[in-house]
Amino acid sequence: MKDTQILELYWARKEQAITETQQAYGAYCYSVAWHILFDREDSDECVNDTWLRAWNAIPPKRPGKLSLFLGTITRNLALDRWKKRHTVKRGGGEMTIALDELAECVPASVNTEDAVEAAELERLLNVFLHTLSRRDCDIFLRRYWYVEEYGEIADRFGMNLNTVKTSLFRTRAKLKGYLEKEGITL
Amino acid sequence: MKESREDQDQSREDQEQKERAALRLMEALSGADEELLERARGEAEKTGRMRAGKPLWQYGRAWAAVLCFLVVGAVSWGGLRLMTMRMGGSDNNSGNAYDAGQQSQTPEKGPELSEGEAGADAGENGAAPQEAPCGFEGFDQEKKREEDGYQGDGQDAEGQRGNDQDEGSQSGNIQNGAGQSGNSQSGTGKLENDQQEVSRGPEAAEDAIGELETAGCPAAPERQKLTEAQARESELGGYVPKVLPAGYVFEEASRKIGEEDSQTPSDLRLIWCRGMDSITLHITRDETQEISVVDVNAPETYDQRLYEIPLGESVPREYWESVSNPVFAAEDLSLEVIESRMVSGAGDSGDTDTPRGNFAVLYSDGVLVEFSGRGTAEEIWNMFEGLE
Repeated sequence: MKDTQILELYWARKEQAITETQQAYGAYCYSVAWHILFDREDSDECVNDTWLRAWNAIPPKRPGKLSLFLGTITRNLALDRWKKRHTVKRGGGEMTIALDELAECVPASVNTEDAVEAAELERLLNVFLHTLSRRDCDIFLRRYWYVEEYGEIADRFGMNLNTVKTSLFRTRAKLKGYLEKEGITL
Repeated sequence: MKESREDQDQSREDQEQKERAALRLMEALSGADEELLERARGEAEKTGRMRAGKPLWQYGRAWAAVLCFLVVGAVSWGGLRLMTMRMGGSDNNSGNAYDAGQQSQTPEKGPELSEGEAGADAGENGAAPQEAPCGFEGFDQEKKREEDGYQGDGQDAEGQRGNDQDEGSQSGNIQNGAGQSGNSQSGTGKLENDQQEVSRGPEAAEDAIGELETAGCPAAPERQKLTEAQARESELGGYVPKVLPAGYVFEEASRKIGEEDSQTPSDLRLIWCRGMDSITLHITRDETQEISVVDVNAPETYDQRLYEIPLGESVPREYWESVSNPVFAAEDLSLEVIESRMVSGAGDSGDTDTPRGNFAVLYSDGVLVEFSGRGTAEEIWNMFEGLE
């Protein structure tokens, strides 16, 4: 079923909308949650919460790209859940490794009191992403948005594992340089 | 011993701070441009595997540009040949009556036919470059200029197909013998100019966009970005609030390109952000549109607190539109009215707990200010109160 048809079901308040969404994007949303949480139960809950959020938001919302709308909800829910879990114990899985890698991009001066606003950080990150080559940008997003493993990314793009690693290493270094140049404290 | 423990504590604290910062980066990535995410997702899933090298279709625009050159070149060359034949015929007096008759007919029909075909071909080839800019927003300037350059190529081709006057003047030039080389210069020269625009800078690129818009391309960027100061100085700047809820910082502003044109309704859009909260104002003046305001004495038509989430189930269908997007007359706006629109429903608070809502205010001079965002009712009331 096409996105527009699914959205029409939401607007008509037909519960079939959720079934269709689950059918079309269930695996995708689960994959987004799984890569962050590395836990089946938590991922399932995140995905179910995503349907609820979507059900409550549409109407009046009419997302342009349903997949990204749902994916972003799932990602935010998964990050929230990860944070809660992380306060209790250090979580496993790819998320921890990805975070450790991203910590390399953090500029030297860390001062949470003068931390840049989230919206400003989002804007700067978008500007930075647009400066990257298409390939580097895609790899970076697959790694840090979808939290995919190196091997998975290499497989997806038909690349050598080392090429992926090198690309990410260089992009992280560029990001660090960019944030420092912009005078960002995180 | 004590020092080493302090060092350990310090390094652990640093580590935790770095982790928090990394998490912030991770969270900020949630706001990555949709088109980038879509591309990252689409690219990988399209074929399952992507070759390391660029696939041929990715060179489509370049191919289209090359074909445009070829078509324009062929048209010019064909015209030149015709001119040469015709002039040669009269100068040398070598042709017989039959030749002369043929020549007198061909220049009138020949160029039109060939240009028509050329236009059709070029149109097909130009389709790809024209599509590209339709959906894009947010490419960096360099890429944008590159895209615009390609668009220019495609548009020229389209322009030649669709512009009868151009065709007329070209064939006129041929008939008048005004110099075929001159024509070919103008033809290819325009393409070259477009390419130069790419390297000449943003102003030139904007000019190119302007040219393309007048030629009827629906894909040209529709909005011009403004700074906050520029927005305040613009025609609708008087409706940009001076007082914003504490902590909000300016994010972006834009207006429709072509606002000076009296046919185009005035339009200004602004966004401010505070962490995950944001406020969007869309200020418009469209005298052609009749806007109906809600009756503040009929709260069932706009008061969101009267209904349960999901609204799609609890709001009567006849009030869907007004409950979703109510428009209040400026004189009816009050703190109570705003309180009815700024809600934070349990379980539907979104990214933050700040109340959120949307509504629009219609001012007596026909200006409509559409609000959407987060803040307490008092904060939003103060913001709107400052407007009057």
